Amino acid sequence: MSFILRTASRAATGREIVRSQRVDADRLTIGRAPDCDLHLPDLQLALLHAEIVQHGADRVEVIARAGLPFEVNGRSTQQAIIALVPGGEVQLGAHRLTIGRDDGGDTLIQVMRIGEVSRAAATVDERNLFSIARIAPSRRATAWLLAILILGAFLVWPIRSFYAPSAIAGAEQADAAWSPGKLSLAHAGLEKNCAACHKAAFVAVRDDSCQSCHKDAHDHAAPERLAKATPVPGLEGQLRQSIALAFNRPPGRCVDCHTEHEGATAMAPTPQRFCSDCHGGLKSRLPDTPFGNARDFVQDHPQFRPTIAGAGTPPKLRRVSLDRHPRQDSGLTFPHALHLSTTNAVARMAQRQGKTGATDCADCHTPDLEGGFKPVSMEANCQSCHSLAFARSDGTVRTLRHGDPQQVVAELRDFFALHGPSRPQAIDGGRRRPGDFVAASLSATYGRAIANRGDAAERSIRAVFSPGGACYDCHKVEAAPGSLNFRIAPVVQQGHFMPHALFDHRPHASQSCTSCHTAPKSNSARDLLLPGIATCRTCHAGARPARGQVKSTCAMCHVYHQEGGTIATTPDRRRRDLDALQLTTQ
Amino acid sequence: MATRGGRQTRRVTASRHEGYLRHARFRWAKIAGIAALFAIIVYWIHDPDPRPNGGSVYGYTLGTIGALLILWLTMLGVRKRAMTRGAWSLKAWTSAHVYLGLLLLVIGTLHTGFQFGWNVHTLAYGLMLFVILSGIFGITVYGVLPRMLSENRGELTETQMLENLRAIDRQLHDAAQPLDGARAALVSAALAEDAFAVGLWSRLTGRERRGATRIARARILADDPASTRAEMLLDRKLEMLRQVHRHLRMRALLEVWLYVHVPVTIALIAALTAHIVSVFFYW
Repeated sequence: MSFILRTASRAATGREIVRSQRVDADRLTIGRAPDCDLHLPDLQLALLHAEIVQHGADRVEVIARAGLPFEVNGRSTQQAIIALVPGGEVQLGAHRLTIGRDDGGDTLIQVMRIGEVSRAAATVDERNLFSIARIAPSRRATAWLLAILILGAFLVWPIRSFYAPSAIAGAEQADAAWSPGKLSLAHAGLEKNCAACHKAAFVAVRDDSCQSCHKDAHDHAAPERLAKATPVPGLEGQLRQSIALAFNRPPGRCVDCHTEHEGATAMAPTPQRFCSDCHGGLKSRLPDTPFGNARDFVQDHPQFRPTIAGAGTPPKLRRVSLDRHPRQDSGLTFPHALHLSTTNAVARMAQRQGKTGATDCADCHTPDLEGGFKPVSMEANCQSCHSLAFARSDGTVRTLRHGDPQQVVAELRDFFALHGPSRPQAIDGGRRRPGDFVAASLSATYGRAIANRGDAAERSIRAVFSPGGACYDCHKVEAAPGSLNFRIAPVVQQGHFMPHALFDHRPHASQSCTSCHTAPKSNSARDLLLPGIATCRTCHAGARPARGQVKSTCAMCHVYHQEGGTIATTPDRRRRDLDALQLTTQ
Repeated sequence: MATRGGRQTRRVTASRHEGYLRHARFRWAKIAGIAALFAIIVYWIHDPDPRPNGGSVYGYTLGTIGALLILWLTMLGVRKRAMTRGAWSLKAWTSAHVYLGLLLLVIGTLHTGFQFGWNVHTLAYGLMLFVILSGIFGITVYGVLPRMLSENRGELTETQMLENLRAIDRQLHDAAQPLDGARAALVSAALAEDAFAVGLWSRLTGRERRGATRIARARILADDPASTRAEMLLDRKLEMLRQVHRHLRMRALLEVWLYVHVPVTIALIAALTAHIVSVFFYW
C-alpha cells in the first residue's frame, strides 16, 4: 500500500505546476515539521498536526495528533474515517487534501493551498487601498441624505403644515425653524402662531393682521394732511419704493415702523427716521401746522412750548415757548424759595415739627403711580403748618372749613353769636331794686357787650381774609369794598404741561428735583418751574449720543398714535386736551 | 538663431509653474479682497433701522450676491471635468473659486447682520461656514501634505509599499515554519493582520494600534535561530506598517475635506433653498 501525494502550485506566470511523490507506508504524518511525510508550510498547523492511517484497501483514518481539529467535508473533528470511494476532503489550516483512490489502487492525496500566506498577499483592490474612498461614506449618498433631510424638515414639513388643518398635532411647531428671532414680549403669545400675522403665503404682513387685535389704533393725522406732509421721495427713495412694490410690499404698513422678531424684549422704539422724514421739513409742506420742524432732539427740535392753563372754569389755555419765560397764575401766592429755605421761620417751624433741616419737595409733592405727582392738597400737605384753628371751646379746637369762604363767614358769625360775654348772676336775681348801682352798671356793661358782639365777628372775618389772615397767607382774596362777601380766587394745579410728549419722573429718580426745577430760587408763585430743552439736553442726546449720554429718539417722548393731547384726530379733541393736562381746579 | 532664441524663451515661460493660488499674480485674490473691503465699508456706513438685518435693502443685496456666488462656486464640480487653457482655464477657475469662496465668508456674515438663532437661516449660514472652513483646510493640506507624503514614502510607490509588505510576510511565513505552535500562532496572527483595516477616525488622528504584529513582536522570545529571524522580520514588518500608516493618515487628511466640502455644499444649497423660500413664504 502506498500514498501518492500530488501537490499543485501556481507559477508566477499563472501556469499550474503539479508535483507527485510516492510514500510507501501505512501511515502518513502531516505537519509543519520538515520530517513529516506530508510537509505543509502553514503556520496554522502544528509541527505534527495529523496522521492518515490506511485501513484495508478501501478506507483511511485521519487522526489529529496535536489536539487541534481539522475539517472533513466541512465538519470540524479530531478523527474521521474516509472511504476511498467516493473519497473525501480534509482541510488543514490553509491547505485542502482531497483523498481518493488512483487508477493503480493506491491512495491518492491531492494537496492544494487554498489560503494566502498573509493578509497583505490577499489584497485585491490595490488602486483604492490607500484611499479613504474604501472606508468613508459615499459623498453622493451623504449629499442626498443631508439634502433630503434638510428640505424635508425645513421646507416641505412647514409648508405642508401651513396648508394642513390646524387639528394636526404638532403642526404649529413645524414653522418654528423659520422664525428669524423671538417676538417682542407684548407678542410672545403669538410665538407659535405664525399665521396670526403671516396670513397668506408670499404676501407681506398686512395691517388687518395687526388691527384684528389693535382695534382702536388710529391714524396719526387726517389722511390728506398726512399725504401733504410726506416729502416726495428722492431717487433712492423712488427706487426703494418701486423695489418694495415689485416685491409686493406696499409702503405705509404698520410693520414699516413696528418691526418684529427682534428678540424677546420690549418692542424696539420706532426709528427716528420714520418721524423726521415728515417732521424734518413739516413747516414748508404744511404751513398751517402749529408744530415747529423737528429732526433730532439735539440737532433740530424746537424749544418746549407748554400748554398753560389759567385759573378759571373753563380754564383758559395758552401755549407759550419757554424761551418767552411764561408765567402761570395759579390763584395761589406760594413762593417756593420761602418754603425751601434752610434758615427762615418756615425751616424753624419744620424743625419744631420734628424734621431735621428744612422742608423739602417731597413734603408737599407726593408721586402718583404714573410718574407724575398728586395735586397738593390743604389737608395732606399744608395744614400741618398752616392751621385753620381759631379758638378753643367746649374742650375742642375750633377749625375753619377749607375751600368754602361763605361757610367760614357763617361759622365765625355763629361762633361769636353763641360765645358772647358771660351773663353776670347779679343781674339775674329777680327784680332790681332802685339804688343797686352795681347791678345797674353790670347790666349796662353786659348790654353793651351784647350789642357789640356782631362787630367782633365781623372783625374776625375781615382778619381771616386780610393780609396776615389764614386765607390770605396762600390765596388771593377778592371782595367788594366794605362787603363781607369774600371770594377766594380760583386755584388751578396742572399735572402735565406738554400733552404731546410723555414724561415720567420715575426714570429720573437718580437726579435731585432741583437739578431740573429751580424751585429754591423762585420767589414768586407765578414762576413756571419747567426746565427748558437745554436742561434736558445735558443728558439726552439725539439718535447719536456721545459717550455717557442717553440716546433719545423721537419715540422716547412722543407717541404716533397718541390718544391724549392734540395729535390724535379725534372728534372730542378739546376734552382730551384737558384730560391730558391733568388739571385740578378749586 | 532668432527663432531658436524665441522658442527657448517661450519654453522657459511655459515651464515655470504657477499654482492656482498665485494665478495671474493673485488676480482673484485682489478682486475678492477689494470686493470684501467694499462690502465691509458699505456695511459700516449703511445705518439700517433698527439694526443691521438680512431684510434691509443692503441685506437683500448681500443675500442675492451670496446666493448667486454659492451657485457659481458649486459649478466648479461641473467645470473641473473639462480642462481648457487661458483666462478661463481650469486653473483660473479654481483660483477664482478659492478667493471668491473666501469673499463669500465676508458677504454671508454681513448678510446675517450678526443675528443668529436656532433656525433655518442660521443653519444655512452654519453650513456655509462649514463648507468654507473645509475648503480652507483642503487648501492647507494641499499645500503642506504632498511633500510630507513623498518624504514618508521615500522612493516607494504605493504598489511597491504593498509589495514590500507582501515580501516581508512571505519571508516571515517561511522563517516561522520551525517555530512551536504558540509562537507559530502569534506569527500567523501577525500575518493575518490587515494593515489597511484602519478606521477613518484612527487614520485621521494617527493613533497607533496595538495590532497582532506588535503583540507577536512583544511576546516572541528570541532564544533560537528561527525565532531570532522571525523577530527580525517582525521588526521589519512593524517598521513597514508604521510607514504605511503614516501614508494612510496623510492620504486621509488629504482626501477627507472633500467628503465634507462636497456633500455639505449640497446640504447648504438645500438649506439655502429653504431659507429663501421661507423668507418669501412668510413675507
